[in-house]
Amino acid sequence: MTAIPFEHLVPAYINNFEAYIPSKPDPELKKMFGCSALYRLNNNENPLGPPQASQEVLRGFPPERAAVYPSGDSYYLREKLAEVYGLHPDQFLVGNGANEVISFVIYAFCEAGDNIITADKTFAVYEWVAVFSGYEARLVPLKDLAFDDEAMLEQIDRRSKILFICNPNNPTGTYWNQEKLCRFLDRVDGRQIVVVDEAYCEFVENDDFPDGIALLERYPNLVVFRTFSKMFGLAGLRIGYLVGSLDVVNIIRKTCVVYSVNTLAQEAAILAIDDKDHIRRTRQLVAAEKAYLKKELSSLGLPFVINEGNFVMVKLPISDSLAYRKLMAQGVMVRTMTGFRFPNYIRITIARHEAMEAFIEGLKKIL
Amino acid sequence: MDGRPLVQCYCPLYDIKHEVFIKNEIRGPKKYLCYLAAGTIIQGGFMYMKKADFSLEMPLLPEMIPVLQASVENAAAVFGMDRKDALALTLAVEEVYCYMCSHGDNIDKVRLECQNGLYYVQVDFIFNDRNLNLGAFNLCTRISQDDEKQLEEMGLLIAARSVDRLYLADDTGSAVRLSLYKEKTYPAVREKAALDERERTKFALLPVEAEGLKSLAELTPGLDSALFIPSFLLYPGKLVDMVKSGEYRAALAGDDKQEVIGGIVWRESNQKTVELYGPYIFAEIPGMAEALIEYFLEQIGRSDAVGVLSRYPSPWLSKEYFELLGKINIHTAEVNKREADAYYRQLGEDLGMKVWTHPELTAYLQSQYQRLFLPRDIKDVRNMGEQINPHSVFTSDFGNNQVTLRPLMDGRDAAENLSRHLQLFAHEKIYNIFLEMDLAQAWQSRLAPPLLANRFKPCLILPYAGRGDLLLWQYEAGE
Repeated sequence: MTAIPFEHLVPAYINNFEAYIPSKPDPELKKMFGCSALYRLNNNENPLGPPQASQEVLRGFPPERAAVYPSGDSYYLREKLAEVYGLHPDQFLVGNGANEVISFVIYAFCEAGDNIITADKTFAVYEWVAVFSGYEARLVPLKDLAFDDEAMLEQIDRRSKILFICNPNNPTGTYWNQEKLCRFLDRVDGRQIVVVDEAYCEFVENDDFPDGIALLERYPNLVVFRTFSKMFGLAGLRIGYLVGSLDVVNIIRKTCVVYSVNTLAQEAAILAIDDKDHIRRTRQLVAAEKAYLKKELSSLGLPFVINEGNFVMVKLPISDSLAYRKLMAQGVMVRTMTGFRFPNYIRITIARHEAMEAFIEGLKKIL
Repeated sequence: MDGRPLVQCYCPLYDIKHEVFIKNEIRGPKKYLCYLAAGTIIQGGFMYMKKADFSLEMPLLPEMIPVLQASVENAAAVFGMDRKDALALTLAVEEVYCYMCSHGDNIDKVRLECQNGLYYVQVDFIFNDRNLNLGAFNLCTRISQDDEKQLEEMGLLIAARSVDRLYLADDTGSAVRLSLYKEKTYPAVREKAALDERERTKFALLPVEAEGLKSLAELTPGLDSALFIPSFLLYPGKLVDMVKSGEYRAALAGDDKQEVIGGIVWRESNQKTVELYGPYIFAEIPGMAEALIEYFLEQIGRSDAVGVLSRYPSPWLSKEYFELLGKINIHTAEVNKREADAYYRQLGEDLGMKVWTHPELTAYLQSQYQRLFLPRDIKDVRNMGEQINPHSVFTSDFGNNQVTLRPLMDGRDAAENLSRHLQLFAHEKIYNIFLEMDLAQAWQSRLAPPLLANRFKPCLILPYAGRGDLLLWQYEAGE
């Protein structure tokens, strides 16, 4: 009769952790909210989809190849990345989305009592992986919506192992320029691993935006994350990678889960990376729709945050979660931002004009 | 085995598991209780107490009663409870155990878990007989001294009246968990404090420390007398222990001299809903209330919680962060009443859920869920001839001149039972009478007809406040 005390089996840091529950599939959401169509503006996906060549790979994939394991370490993709960036293939580790490579790095360098340092209002997965792995996540408040370099440096102690910088930052779109990033790396002076997550780097056109990969030779403690989910429109296939100095990547390789990236993702990514026209067209769409949103949000008198990346944040005079439900009823799905520690803000993915219009119309109706 | 009763003890704080045979002296429990006073952790500049607890697993044998008595009484003392409260809790535990010994024919063993909640002590009985008659837990139970069968239930009645709250819940597998809570006694605020008259124009959030919390508790009673103040804010030491326990949290705003001039308190009442109290503002400085609310929301934005409930909002609650749930009536006497708004907000996306309804309630729920834009799959519950318990059980939770009933068990006598409760409350001059119905539990929705028959009205849906959404009913006397 005795109830099995499962809780005694579970580490406290797991018991105290909130499981992330993703949103339901579109048909379920449409049924729940009674809408006939749904514009998904919550995940910063590319409305243009993958580059043309990647689309052809997807269309032409022979079904029988699904029975065969993929390359366990994304061999050809790493060769391609090495060619593009002029590095050694072993400097790359490919994961099932950039989320997976976050885990690789944390597992490789942290042990009980260690901490990681990042911002309080940034991509949550650095914090989550650290916390549910039993490590402390030191969260430094943003300063003027950007990562605060000095405050992050002040948080470093002898148990600090990794500093995570999201550049440009999701969700504020702010970034550290070349000078600021280098100054920070100089101050860290190789004592900790510095991860620069460049998930949205392809959206930034400013000259002073730093290319983390180009800094690897100068800073061997630097690790750069990139993804094919955003600009390259392969979010549904889950593929991202990290790149670093050979010494650092050889350590991270020990915690890398092999065979986690499927064949289709690897092949689509190889063909995506060369498509400069896809990047140009996406940037064009993002710029045009950001300008449209800026104008409309200004005329509604709503405060907004529009910087780099394919997203904007808007502060509402009502609860963000209520706005989410009301917009869902009109077929527009946005991201509530209280979970990012921005109460009453919503984040909107830049999408095709029709979707942006639907969002603005929806907003007008609910406010 | 030599036939002596076996007690299994487990103390998770020190990860000690031991079995002891009981002779005359009580070795096992005492041995482990001596460890329990230890365990403090420092977090965020404020000292939180680690919740030390222990468990006993024992057969249902009357000769085990001294083990039980000594364990609970000593634990309560170690946990800082005064003797009067400790004895009341011990009495309640003893009475429940005795009742189980005589009526729990289907129970082979019972597991007892004792937890130090810092401002309360909680004792849980975990057993495997769902049909054990707990009817005497009803506050309104009257025991006739001439009726021997009723006298057997006297123990449960004594237990119910000796503790502050009790809950019955399904536990893992087929087990049932009966939880008894006894709060510690604290001195009340001696006199209303007030800030000096000097002008204040700046504020900053202060580190949460014991003395700051006491200042908050001392200043709050001086606010507008019409304002609803939760009873725990009248006991500074209790507020400190509540925050120390980690169950409640607070944020404080201070002036340039770091004097407390505002504050907000919240409680994670279950894993899904955070109950918010305040903000309470003692010096009007623009933006201070909003800063406290934003700080609070940032703190819980990535927590387990799904939503925030402000059942008795202060006038400084910034409405743009919340949704109006509905209104409840606050009675100050039998005929005087005023309406009070209740507010809510979710912290993320609503994932939808199934709720159970009685046909008499369906239209109300549909209209409310539509108004609140909450996606719910509303399912009717119908009796298809299945047997229903003869006896219903409701627990009563008192505070601030109000009582909240919670159904423990459905029963054929629900209407009469509710009526008896209402008579008792009328006699005690309690006019704010609520009942919480958990819409995720199909059996509770069957209580709709007896509630309507007793002039209860559904007044608020509290999303995610129970296992699912709670429907709050209010008794409307004379309407």
